[in-house]
Parts: sequence; C-alpha cells; structure tokens
Amino acid sequence: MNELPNRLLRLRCIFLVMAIFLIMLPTLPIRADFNHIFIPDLLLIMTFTWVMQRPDVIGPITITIVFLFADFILQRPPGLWAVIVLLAATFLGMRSANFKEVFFIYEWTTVSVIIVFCYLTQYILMRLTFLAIYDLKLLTTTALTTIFFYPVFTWVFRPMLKKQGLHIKKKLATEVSE
Amino acid sequence: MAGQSKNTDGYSTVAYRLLMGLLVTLLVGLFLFWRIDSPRVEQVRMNIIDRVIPNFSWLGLPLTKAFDLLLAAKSYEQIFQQNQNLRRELQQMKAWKEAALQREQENAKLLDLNQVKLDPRFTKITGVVLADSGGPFRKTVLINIGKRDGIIDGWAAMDGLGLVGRISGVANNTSRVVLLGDTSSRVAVTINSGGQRALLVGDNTNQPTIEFLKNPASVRAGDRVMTSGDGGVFPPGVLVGQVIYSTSGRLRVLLAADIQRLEFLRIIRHQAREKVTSTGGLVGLPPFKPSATNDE
Repeated sequence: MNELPNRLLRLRCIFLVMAIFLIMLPTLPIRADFNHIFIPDLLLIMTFTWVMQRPDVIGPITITIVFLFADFILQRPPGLWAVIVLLAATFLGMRSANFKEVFFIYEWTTVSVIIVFCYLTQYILMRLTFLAIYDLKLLTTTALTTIFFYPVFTWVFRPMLKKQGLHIKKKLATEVSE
Repeated sequence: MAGQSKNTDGYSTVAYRLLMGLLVTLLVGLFLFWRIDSPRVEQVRMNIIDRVIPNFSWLGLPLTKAFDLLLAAKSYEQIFQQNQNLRRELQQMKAWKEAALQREQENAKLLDLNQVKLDPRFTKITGVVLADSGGPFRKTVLINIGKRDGIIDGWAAMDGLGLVGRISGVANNTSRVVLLGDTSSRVAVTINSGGQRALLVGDNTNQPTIEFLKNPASVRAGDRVMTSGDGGVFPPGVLVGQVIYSTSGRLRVLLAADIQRLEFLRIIRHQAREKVTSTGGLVGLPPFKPSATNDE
C-alpha cells in the first residue's frame, strides 16, 4: 500500500521536471528562425497524454502550477491558457477510463476535438478582451501539429505510465480482496 | 476495474469540486486583473523571469552550440557562391571606401568650421541576449541589464547597425526587448530622412510592414528608413532598414539589424525631448501701457 503514493510522487516529479524542460526549451536563444517550422505545443500534448493514461498522477494543482508558470515565462496572458487547459484536462481525465478498452482512434479523435476547442476558446476570449490576436494561420498549424504528435507522445509514455500502474492496481485489488 | 470506479468517485467528491472551483476562479481572476491592471502583473512577470531565466542558461548551452554548428555547416554548403559574392562586394566597397574617406575629411573640415558638439546625452549601454520570447507568437528577447543599470521602459535597442526594438518591462537584472516584428510593436519612421512619415507595424514576421503612408507611390524599394522621433519615445535618426516590396505587393522594411542572430544589444539612453508648452505670445514690445492709467 505504501508503494503507491511513493510512485505517484515520483511520476509527479518526473512530470514537473519534463514540464519545466519543455517550458524553458523555446526560451533558449537558439538564434534561428522558426517561423517556417511548425512546432507543436509539446507541453499541451504531454499533459493530455498523461491525463489520459493516468488521471490520478497530475491533479488540477499540478496543471495549474505548470501552466501558470508557462504563461508567465512565455509572455502569454497569465491565467488564460492555464484555465483553458485545466478545464480541458479535467474533462479528459474524467473520461479517460472510457478509452481503456476501445481503439486508440477514438481517444485520438476526442483529444483532437478538445485541442481544437482549447485553441478556439483562447482565440475567442482574446478577441472578447481586445487583446492582440495571434496569427490565425500560425494558430491553425500549431493546433494541427499538436494533434498529429499526440499518438507519438502516447506511444512514448504509455509503457512508463500504464504497465506499472496496472501492476500496482492488481496488487491493490488482491490486497483489498484479501 | 475497481481502481477506475474509485477514480470516477474521486472526481465527484465535494473537496475536488471545491478545489477546481477555487483554481478556476483564481486563474480567471488573475487573467482579468492582468487585463485591467496590466503593469502591476507585468512587473510580477518580470520578477519571475528575473529569478528563473538566468538559472537556466546552462540548459541552453549544448543546444545553442549544436545549432550554431548546424548553421555553420549550412553556410559551408554555399561557401563558393558566398566567396564570389563577397569578392564582388569587396570591389564595390573599395569604391565606397574611397568616397567615404573623402567625405570624412570634408566632414571634419565642416565640423571644425561649425564647432559642432555632438549630443552628450546620446550614450549607449550594451547588454547580452539571455533568452528568446518562447513560442511562435511573440517576438521578444530578454537581455541581461535592467533597473540596476538604469534601464527605463521605452528606450530604443539597437544591434551594431540598426534599430531592433524597444524596452518593454524592466526587472532588476533583466529586461525585455519587444522586437520590431512583434505584433504589438509600432514605431514612427521617416522614409528618405524626412521625406515621408509612416508607422512601422510588426506582424509577427522579421520584416515589419509600413503603414499610414501618405503617398505610397513615391516610395521605392531600397529607400532608407529611419526613426522619426515622433511621439518622443525614440531618438530621431536611428537607422531602421530599407524599404522592400513583399510578394503580395505590400511595403515592408528589411531591417538593417541582423534580427535572427542577436547576441549583443545596445540600449540608447534617451531623455525625452523638452516639450514646448507656451503657445507663443505677442512678439515685440507692447506699443503702450494702458493698464497703468486704468489702475489709477
């Protein structure tokens, strides 16, 4: 029983470290023009992947901290993207159990819809609050690349998140039954 | 499956809902507060960046080096062509050098004649670029000088040649420079030194557009663009770049500064010009003083 919180904490720490890395990555002075390359929002995909695999690992507090930090560092309106992602991640997390036994394509479609919805909400809210609006073409390409990279992230993180999680769950189940 | 049902139970607990509500209100509140009172939150943002970014400079080192190598390798590919171009340019430069030398002598003579003193307040502070803005939607950089070095919001930033942007956000040891290409950047410029006034508007590319131009037909590609100093934010006469026509026929500015490889930035100390407040009184002596007789 005492293994579980330990592992949760470890996974959470891994998530935080990777999130910080992904946030700092675009701030590096690489001095190359990335305008032509469409970079997906890696932090968003990673969060959604983890939420779909293990909704218990990254709770609302972790998401809030990470995305608020990102908002502050990456010169975005503070709180806006964070609250959108927080709500989206919670929505996905509540439904993640439904996708355990169906084809991956259903999960992917759901996540894609949510990602598009996130960007759309952000766009509309920025419009409503009279903020300088991001370039719509760039926004579209970012959303699309983000969607296309989702399976890659799932493929990378699934072994790390799922197998041992199941193992522990089984263990728990046996303990409970005993 | 027991674990899953537990999870869904967890989501419906009162504590969880309270927490979610709290977080959402907090974030929305922060966003609205930022929208209403932007400078205060931006100060908080600058302080966070001031703490965080310098501590992560080690992270960038290998990546920066790798990218520099990549760019260097890329330039090797075109080395022959570059060499040819350079030779041709050198030939032209020799002619220019001759002309410049002559001008310099002439200039020295004229200056001596006029006893001109260059403005002593026009000094520069040099800073190193620490970090990029992050994300494809903004064009800003952070530099390693701030309030401690006397930086003030709004000062112009140049690289060696031309204007790069303006200071927007100052923390103790770092400050942020909004580049000319950023969507929020607006700079008053003149084309052909005083010929025409226009506004340089950033649109998230490296070549900002020229807008509010009175007579676009008289502007040709290759015309020099300088800051006009209108509005009193920038010093007048700083080189910005050259006019070019984009493929869509819009007027844009090819910046003189090498915006893709910013390493050092010069911040120009600029005191705003004194304003002329009086509307201009009567010139000359009044013909007589009727007030003295009226008083008696």
